[in-house]
Amino acid sequence: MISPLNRALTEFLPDKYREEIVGDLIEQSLSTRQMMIELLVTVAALLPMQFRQSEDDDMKHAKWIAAAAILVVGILQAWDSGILAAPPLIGTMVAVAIVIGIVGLFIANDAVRLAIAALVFILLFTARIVSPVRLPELTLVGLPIFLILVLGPRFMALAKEKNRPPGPGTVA
Amino acid sequence: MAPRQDLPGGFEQLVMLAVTRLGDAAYGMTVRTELESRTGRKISLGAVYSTLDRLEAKGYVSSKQSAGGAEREGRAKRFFRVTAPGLRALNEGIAALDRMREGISTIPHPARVT
Repeated sequence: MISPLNRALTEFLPDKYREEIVGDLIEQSLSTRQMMIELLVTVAALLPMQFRQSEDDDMKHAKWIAAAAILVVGILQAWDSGILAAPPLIGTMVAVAIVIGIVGLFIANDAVRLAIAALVFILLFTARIVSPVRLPELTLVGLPIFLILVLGPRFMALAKEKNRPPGPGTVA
Repeated sequence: MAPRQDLPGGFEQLVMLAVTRLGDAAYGMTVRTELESRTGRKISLGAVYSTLDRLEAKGYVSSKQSAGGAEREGRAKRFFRVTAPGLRALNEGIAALDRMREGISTIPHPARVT
């Protein structure tokens, strides 16, 4: 049996091999702690694979458009919030939030993408709290990033389904 | 001149050799165990799967999912095997390595070490 924490960690494995990797680890009869270490190492080793997902050109094109949108809207919103008056550390935190938001777009695993969306908000919220300059609208930078990371893949999957040619058994 | 194949890298060659050695029993955990016992190094399961995924994308290995038994709580197994182009690329890679070390006295060929 896998502990609840280890079960949560398995969500960060790539969908393609999750079942097989978990099976391999169960087969080894590891203790809960050993399995946690194995899972952490495996998740870290497989992170690059999350970027190598096979997808068609339309999906890749849509992701690059979304990445450009996050960058432009993020910079404009940060500028509008008054980031230029804040210390460099705050500016760096906002820049990191925007960059990891863009990186998140290219990750196939839902759990990792959601974790990145949450991290973006945490970074922006922390920047807003620690900033000596008042930046009340700073967390709004994260709103388009959050929406695109959480809802974007679902919309893309729906659009893909809608554009798919009808199969041989489909009634017109 | 025929187009040359992409030569598999060092760890890729080790993984392909392990898969070939294991035959019909090559799946993630057995590949890892084979690599660890023959290289004497600790290897993560993630590194094994990541390499197998890359090799599959290159067409050097193929995989087939099969149902798992009670020892895996019913979780599926994915068996791997080296394809014909994979075997060709592996042989080319090893031959290239042999040619590269030819004449280097500090790295003698194992077949010629007495």
